[in-house]
Amino acid sequence: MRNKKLLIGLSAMVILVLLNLPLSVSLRIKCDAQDNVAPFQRFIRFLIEKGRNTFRPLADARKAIEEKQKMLEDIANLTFQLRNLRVLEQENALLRKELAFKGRQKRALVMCEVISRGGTSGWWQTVRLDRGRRHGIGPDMAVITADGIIGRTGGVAPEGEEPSLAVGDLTCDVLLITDPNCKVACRFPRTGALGILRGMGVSAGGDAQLEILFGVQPCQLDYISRTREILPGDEIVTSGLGGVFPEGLLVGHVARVEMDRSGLYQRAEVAPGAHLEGIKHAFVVAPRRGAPGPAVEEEAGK
Amino acid sequence: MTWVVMILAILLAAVAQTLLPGYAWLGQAKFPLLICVALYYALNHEFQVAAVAGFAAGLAHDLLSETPMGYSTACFWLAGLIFSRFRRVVLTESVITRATFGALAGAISAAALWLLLAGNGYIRCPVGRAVLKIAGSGLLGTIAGPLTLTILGRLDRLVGNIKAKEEYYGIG
Repeated sequence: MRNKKLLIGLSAMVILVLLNLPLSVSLRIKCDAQDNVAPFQRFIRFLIEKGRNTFRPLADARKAIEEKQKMLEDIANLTFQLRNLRVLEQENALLRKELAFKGRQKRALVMCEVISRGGTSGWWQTVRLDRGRRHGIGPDMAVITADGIIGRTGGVAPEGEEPSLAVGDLTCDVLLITDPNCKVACRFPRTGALGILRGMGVSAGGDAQLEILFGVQPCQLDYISRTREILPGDEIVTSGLGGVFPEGLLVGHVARVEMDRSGLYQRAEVAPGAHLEGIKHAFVVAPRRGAPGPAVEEEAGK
Repeated sequence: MTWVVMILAILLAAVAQTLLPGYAWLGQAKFPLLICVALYYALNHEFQVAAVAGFAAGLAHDLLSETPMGYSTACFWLAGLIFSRFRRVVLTESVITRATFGALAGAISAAALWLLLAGNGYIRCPVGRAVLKIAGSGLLGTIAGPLTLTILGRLDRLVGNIKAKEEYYGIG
């Protein structure tokens, strides 16, 4: 009986200590734990993928031939475009030099594999990547795929507080753009209008593009000037004004647009460009070595 | 040996819970494997082991999710203590008992976490979606409960933990 009371008292005390740990300490502990569990996650994912890949060719051999043909065409097209882009890049560099423009910050793409989705709780829209600080990834960096942005590195926090940034040495968490805590400063390239995008979570029905495992609810773009004409299908890119996402990354396309109830601004429903329901690989937009990252810039500002 | 099996079970359950997807039509609910591990120890082992299992499962849940430290630990630990009170009054070998307790464990832990997280402003989750997730966790608990409890029971028997306990209590 006495042992029982002692155990309860001791456990309660440890829980109280855990609840009152400073954010930096609890994050450090979490990051270390996640880094240590990552090899197990990677191994099990590897086994799953291996099993899937063993049987897949038997199932869709014909599809693979068609895909190969399409990929060859794509490679030819992209090679052609790349050649044109090189010419344009040289021309651009020359013009910038002549106009004495300050060069854009150099950035590198760090390729990562998605090792888990949603942590153990599933309360947030997050994925965990298999790269961390050792690979040049820090907090508040944009994460993209070939189809557009998917989110930013770092964790979640109550409104108005500093986000708890879970970036470990070997892994990092990505807050997806579908999460209500993720906000992105956006721009319409066609009209130049600006707005703030926020996630609406996932849905099990309604207008959501329902998938079996992951139903993405369209994101919402607020504070668009009422005087600018916005049409369904309009492309949306990052404006770079928020400080996290570099300018010009594809966000998605307008699905529906309407005037806000207040009548002061327009609001649009946005279908994300990236296929968030089946991400396997992603790229973290990290500053090149020697160039200051967003966090470093912020510190320098302070 | 009980502690080795417990650590292994918690590690495997934690990894499996992060890898299994959240189901959109169940409000992004995940298979509540970790709370089911705590449930197994609450229903099959003495109070001290149940308390430690609940604490450790909750800690693993906190460490591998964005939940602030201590939230799941407190919830799972309390759940372990409460469920251990039913150890002597329910048929722990029955599938119905396991499914019912699995559902209860899943739903109660999801509800408690929602209250804590929403109350402190960590999530903005409408009541409707939260209810769907709580119900979803309960539903997945009916599958995860019998599965986890059966596997762990067999594992415990295999290494001799259960037999040792039965002799200790004079039941076997």
